[in-house]
Amino acid sequence: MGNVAMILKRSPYGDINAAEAVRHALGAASFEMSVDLILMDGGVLLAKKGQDDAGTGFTNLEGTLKDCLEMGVSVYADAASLKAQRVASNDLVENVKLVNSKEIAGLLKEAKATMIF
Amino acid sequence: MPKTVTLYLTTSPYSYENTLTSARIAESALNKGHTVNLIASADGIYCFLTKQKAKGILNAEEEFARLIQKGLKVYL
Amino acid sequence: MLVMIKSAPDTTDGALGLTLAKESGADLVLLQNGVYFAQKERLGAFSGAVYVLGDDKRLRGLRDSEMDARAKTRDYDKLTDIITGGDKVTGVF
Repeated sequence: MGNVAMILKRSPYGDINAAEAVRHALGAASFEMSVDLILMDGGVLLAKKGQDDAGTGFTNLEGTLKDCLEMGVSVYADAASLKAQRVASNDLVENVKLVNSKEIAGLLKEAKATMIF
Repeated sequence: MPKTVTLYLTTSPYSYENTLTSARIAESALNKGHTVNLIASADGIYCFLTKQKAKGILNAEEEFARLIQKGLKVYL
Repeated sequence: MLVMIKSAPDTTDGALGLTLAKESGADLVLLQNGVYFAQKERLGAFSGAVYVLGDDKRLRGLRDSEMDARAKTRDYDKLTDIITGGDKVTGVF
Protein backbone atom coordinates (compact mmCIF):
# COMPACT_ATOMS: atom_id res chain seq x y z
CA MET A 1 0.00 0.00 0.00
CA GLY A 2 1.37 3.42 -0.90
CA ASN A 3 1.88 6.16 1.59
CA VAL A 4 -0.53 8.98 2.39
CA ALA A 5 0.54 12.60 2.70
CA MET A 6 -1.54 14.79 4.98
CA ILE A 7 -1.01 18.52 4.82
CA LEU A 8 -2.13 20.67 7.74
CA LYS A 9 -2.30 24.38 6.92
CA ARG A 10 -4.46 25.62 9.80
CA SER A 11 -3.30 26.49 13.29
CA PRO A 12 -4.55 24.28 16.14
CA TYR A 13 -7.64 24.82 18.31
CA GLY A 14 -9.32 27.70 16.45
CA ASP A 15 -11.03 25.18 14.23
CA ILE A 16 -11.25 21.41 13.87
CA ASN A 17 -8.70 20.93 11.08
CA ALA A 18 -5.63 20.21 13.23
CA ALA A 19 -7.59 17.75 15.38
CA GLU A 20 -8.91 16.05 12.25
CA ALA A 21 -5.44 15.81 10.69
CA VAL A 22 -3.92 14.05 13.69
CA ARG A 23 -7.01 11.87 14.11
CA HIS A 24 -6.84 10.65 10.53
CA ALA A 25 -3.06 10.27 10.72
CA LEU A 26 -3.44 8.08 13.81
CA GLY A 27 -6.21 6.12 12.15
CA ALA A 28 -4.16 5.47 9.03
CA ALA A 29 -1.11 4.53 11.10
CA SER A 30 -3.18 2.06 13.12
CA PHE A 31 -3.94 0.28 9.82
CA GLU A 32 -0.18 0.17 9.23
CA MET A 33 -0.32 2.70 6.43
CA SER A 34 2.71 4.90 5.90
CA VAL A 35 1.77 8.48 6.74
CA ASP A 36 3.64 11.73 6.13
CA LEU A 37 2.08 14.58 8.11
CA ILE A 38 3.32 17.85 6.62
CA LEU A 39 2.83 21.03 8.64
CA MET A 40 2.66 24.26 6.66
CA ASP A 41 1.53 27.85 7.26
CA GLY A 42 -0.29 28.04 10.63
CA GLY A 43 -0.19 24.25 10.79
CA VAL A 44 3.39 24.35 12.09
CA LEU A 45 2.00 25.72 15.37
CA LEU A 46 0.67 22.22 16.06
CA ALA A 47 4.24 21.13 16.78
CA LYS A 48 4.98 23.89 19.27
CA LYS A 49 6.02 22.59 22.68
CA GLY A 50 4.26 23.43 25.93
CA GLN A 51 0.56 23.32 24.98
CA ASP A 52 -1.49 23.28 28.18
CA ASP A 53 -5.16 22.27 27.89
CA ALA A 54 -5.91 22.38 31.62
CA GLY A 55 -9.45 23.55 32.26
CA THR A 56 -10.30 24.15 28.61
CA GLY A 57 -12.11 20.92 27.71
CA PHE A 58 -9.93 20.42 24.65
CA THR A 59 -7.82 17.41 23.78
CA ASN A 60 -4.16 18.41 23.96
CA LEU A 61 -3.03 18.23 20.35
CA GLU A 62 0.66 18.31 21.22
CA GLY A 63 0.04 15.04 23.03
CA THR A 64 -1.84 13.61 20.06
CA LEU A 65 0.98 14.65 17.72
CA LYS A 66 3.43 12.77 19.96
CA ASP A 67 1.10 9.75 19.74
CA CYS A 68 1.32 10.02 15.95
CA LEU A 69 5.12 10.03 16.09
CA GLU A 70 5.11 7.00 18.38
CA MET A 71 2.79 5.19 15.97
CA GLY A 72 5.30 5.76 13.17
CA VAL A 73 3.84 8.81 11.45
CA SER A 74 6.57 10.94 9.88
CA VAL A 75 5.98 14.58 10.80
CA TYR A 76 7.52 17.39 8.78
CA ALA A 77 7.46 21.15 9.40
CA ASP A 78 8.00 23.67 6.62
CA ALA A 79 10.99 25.79 7.61
CA ALA A 80 9.68 28.94 5.91
CA SER A 81 6.35 28.62 7.72
CA LEU A 82 8.14 28.21 11.05
CA LYS A 83 9.94 31.49 10.42
CA ALA A 84 6.71 33.26 9.43
CA GLN A 85 4.93 31.89 12.51
CA ARG A 86 7.89 32.76 14.79
CA VAL A 87 8.49 29.27 16.01
CA ALA A 88 12.14 28.40 16.68
CA SER A 89 13.29 24.93 15.66
CA ASN A 90 14.29 24.17 19.26
CA ASP A 91 10.71 24.96 20.30
CA LEU A 92 9.36 22.01 18.32
CA VAL A 93 8.23 18.61 19.57
CA GLU A 94 11.11 16.12 19.26
CA ASN A 95 11.46 14.12 16.03
CA VAL A 96 9.60 16.64 13.87
CA LYS A 97 11.74 17.08 10.77
CA LEU A 98 12.40 20.46 9.15
CA VAL A 99 11.91 20.54 5.38
CA ASN A 100 12.00 23.10 2.59
CA SER A 101 9.50 23.51 -0.23
CA LYS A 102 11.50 21.31 -2.60
CA GLU A 103 11.52 18.48 -0.07
CA ILE A 104 7.78 18.91 0.50
CA ALA A 105 7.23 18.68 -3.25
CA GLY A 106 9.19 15.45 -3.22
CA LEU A 107 7.05 14.00 -0.43
CA LEU A 108 3.86 14.86 -2.29
CA LYS A 109 5.20 13.43 -5.53
CA GLU A 110 5.89 10.13 -3.81
CA ALA A 111 2.53 9.97 -2.01
CA LYS A 112 -0.20 7.68 -3.29
CA ALA A 113 -2.85 10.04 -1.92
CA THR A 114 -2.92 13.50 -0.38
CA MET A 115 -5.32 14.92 2.18
CA ILE A 116 -5.38 18.64 2.98
CA PHE A 117 -6.63 20.05 6.28
CA MET B 1 -24.06 47.47 37.88
CA PRO B 2 -25.63 44.53 36.03
CA LYS B 3 -25.64 44.84 32.27
CA THR B 4 -26.95 42.80 29.37
CA VAL B 5 -24.45 40.80 27.37
CA THR B 6 -25.67 39.42 24.05
CA LEU B 7 -23.64 36.77 22.26
CA TYR B 8 -24.23 35.82 18.63
CA LEU B 9 -23.21 32.28 17.73
CA THR B 10 -23.31 31.20 14.09
CA THR B 11 -20.93 28.27 13.89
CA SER B 12 -21.49 24.54 14.34
CA PRO B 13 -20.59 23.10 17.75
CA TYR B 14 -17.42 21.13 17.02
CA SER B 15 -15.75 22.72 14.01
CA TYR B 16 -14.64 25.93 15.73
CA GLU B 17 -13.51 27.20 19.11
CA ASN B 18 -16.45 29.62 19.24
CA THR B 19 -18.65 27.21 21.21
CA LEU B 20 -16.19 27.10 24.08
CA THR B 21 -15.51 30.85 24.01
CA SER B 22 -19.24 31.66 24.02
CA ALA B 23 -19.96 29.26 26.87
CA ARG B 24 -17.11 30.53 29.02
CA ILE B 25 -17.96 34.21 28.52
CA ALA B 26 -21.65 33.48 29.16
CA GLU B 27 -20.88 31.63 32.38
CA SER B 28 -18.54 34.31 33.65
CA ALA B 29 -21.11 37.04 32.93
CA LEU B 30 -23.91 35.03 34.56
CA ASN B 31 -21.75 34.49 37.65
CA LYS B 32 -21.31 38.25 37.89
CA GLY B 33 -25.06 38.85 37.81
CA HIS B 34 -25.35 40.12 34.26
CA THR B 35 -28.22 39.21 31.96
CA VAL B 36 -26.87 37.03 29.18
CA ASN B 37 -28.61 36.42 25.86
CA LEU B 38 -27.30 34.01 23.28
CA ILE B 39 -28.69 34.28 19.78
CA ALA B 40 -27.97 31.14 17.76
CA SER B 41 -28.25 31.57 14.02
CA ALA B 42 -27.19 29.61 10.94
CA ASP B 43 -25.10 26.57 12.01
CA GLY B 44 -25.10 27.86 15.59
CA ILE B 45 -28.48 26.24 16.09
CA TYR B 46 -26.81 22.80 15.95
CA CYS B 47 -25.32 23.57 19.37
CA PHE B 48 -28.80 23.05 20.81
CA LEU B 49 -29.70 19.68 19.32
CA THR B 50 -30.25 16.88 21.80
CA LYS B 51 -28.44 13.51 21.99
CA GLN B 52 -25.00 14.91 21.17
CA LYS B 53 -22.22 12.43 21.88
CA ALA B 54 -19.10 14.64 21.76
CA LYS B 55 -16.04 13.53 23.74
CA GLY B 56 -12.59 15.11 24.01
CA ILE B 57 -14.13 18.50 23.38
CA LEU B 58 -16.77 20.53 25.16
CA ASN B 59 -20.19 18.87 24.71
CA ALA B 60 -22.32 21.78 23.49
CA GLU B 61 -25.65 20.26 24.50
CA GLU B 62 -24.54 19.54 28.07
CA GLU B 63 -22.74 22.83 28.49
CA PHE B 64 -25.53 25.06 27.23
CA ALA B 65 -28.16 23.06 29.13
CA ARG B 66 -26.17 23.74 32.30
CA LEU B 67 -25.91 27.45 31.47
CA ILE B 68 -29.63 27.70 30.70
CA GLN B 69 -30.23 26.39 34.22
CA LYS B 70 -28.01 29.23 35.47
CA GLY B 71 -30.08 31.82 33.61
CA LEU B 72 -28.74 31.95 30.07
CA LYS B 73 -31.46 33.03 27.65
CA VAL B 74 -31.17 31.35 24.27
CA TYR B 75 -32.92 32.49 21.10
CA LEU B 76 -32.85 30.38 17.94
CA MET C 1 -14.21 51.08 22.24
CA LEU C 2 -13.05 47.51 22.50
CA VAL C 3 -12.09 45.40 19.49
CA MET C 4 -12.00 41.62 19.92
CA ILE C 5 -9.91 39.45 17.60
CA LYS C 6 -10.14 35.66 17.43
CA SER C 7 -8.51 35.16 14.02
CA ALA C 8 -4.80 34.55 13.45
CA PRO C 9 -2.42 37.31 12.25
CA ASP C 10 -2.12 35.68 8.81
CA THR C 11 -5.85 36.02 8.13
CA THR C 12 -7.78 38.86 6.53
CA ASP C 13 -10.15 39.07 9.48
CA GLY C 14 -7.32 39.27 12.00
CA ALA C 15 -5.53 42.01 10.07
CA LEU C 16 -8.78 43.93 9.64
CA GLY C 17 -9.46 43.79 13.37
CA LEU C 18 -6.04 45.14 14.22
CA THR C 19 -6.29 47.93 11.64
CA LEU C 20 -9.70 48.93 12.97
CA ALA C 21 -8.43 48.96 16.53
CA LYS C 22 -5.43 51.09 15.55
CA GLU C 23 -7.40 53.58 13.51
CA SER C 24 -10.17 54.00 16.08
CA GLY C 25 -7.93 54.24 19.12
CA ALA C 26 -9.62 51.20 20.63
CA ASP C 27 -8.36 48.71 23.18
CA LEU C 28 -7.80 45.16 22.03
CA VAL C 29 -8.89 41.76 23.35
CA LEU C 30 -7.07 38.79 21.82
CA LEU C 31 -8.56 35.31 22.08
CA GLN C 32 -8.52 31.97 20.22
CA ASN C 33 -5.99 32.26 17.35
CA GLY C 34 -5.93 36.02 17.87
CA VAL C 35 -3.54 35.46 20.80
CA TYR C 36 -0.69 35.14 18.30
CA PHE C 37 -1.00 38.89 17.70
CA ALA C 38 0.49 39.33 21.17
CA GLN C 39 3.79 37.79 20.10
CA LYS C 40 6.64 40.29 19.99
CA GLU C 41 6.71 42.73 17.05
CA ARG C 42 3.28 41.81 15.67
CA LEU C 43 1.28 44.73 17.06
CA GLY C 44 3.47 47.50 15.71
CA ALA C 45 2.60 51.05 16.75
CA PHE C 46 -0.51 50.22 18.73
CA SER C 47 -1.30 52.68 21.50
CA GLY C 48 -4.32 51.10 23.24
CA ALA C 49 -4.46 48.51 25.97
CA VAL C 50 -3.95 44.89 24.89
CA TYR C 51 -5.55 42.03 26.77
CA VAL C 52 -4.85 38.35 26.05
CA LEU C 53 -7.06 35.49 27.18
CA GLY C 54 -4.84 33.34 29.42
CA ASP C 55 -6.56 30.00 28.69
CA ASP C 56 -6.15 30.42 24.93
CA LYS C 57 -2.52 31.51 25.30
CA ARG C 58 -1.63 28.49 27.44
CA LEU C 59 -3.51 26.11 25.17
CA ARG C 60 -1.24 27.14 22.31
CA GLY C 61 1.98 26.86 24.31
CA LEU C 62 2.76 30.58 24.17
CA ARG C 63 5.15 31.67 26.91
CA ASP C 64 5.35 35.10 28.55
CA SER C 65 8.88 35.50 27.19
CA GLU C 66 7.46 35.40 23.64
CA MET C 67 4.85 38.05 24.29
CA ASP C 68 4.77 41.79 23.62
CA ALA C 69 5.42 43.62 26.88
CA ARG C 70 2.19 45.58 26.41
CA ALA C 71 0.02 42.47 26.42
CA LYS C 72 -1.74 41.80 29.72
CA THR C 73 -2.98 38.26 30.37
CA ARG C 74 -6.54 38.05 31.69
CA ASP C 75 -8.91 35.22 32.62
CA TYR C 76 -12.58 34.97 31.55
CA ASP C 77 -13.77 36.80 34.68
CA LYS C 78 -11.53 39.80 34.06
CA LEU C 79 -12.37 39.68 30.37
CA THR C 80 -16.06 39.89 31.23
CA ASP C 81 -15.36 42.95 33.39
CA ILE C 82 -13.53 44.56 30.47
CA ILE C 83 -16.39 43.76 28.06
CA THR C 84 -19.14 44.99 30.38
CA GLY C 85 -17.10 47.97 31.59
CA GLY C 86 -16.74 49.59 28.17
CA ASP C 87 -19.22 51.55 26.09
CA LYS C 88 -18.92 49.49 22.91
CA VAL C 89 -17.56 46.14 21.82
CA THR C 90 -16.73 45.52 18.15
CA GLY C 91 -16.02 42.09 16.72
CA VAL C 92 -15.34 39.35 17.06
CA PHE C 93 -12.94 39.43 14.10
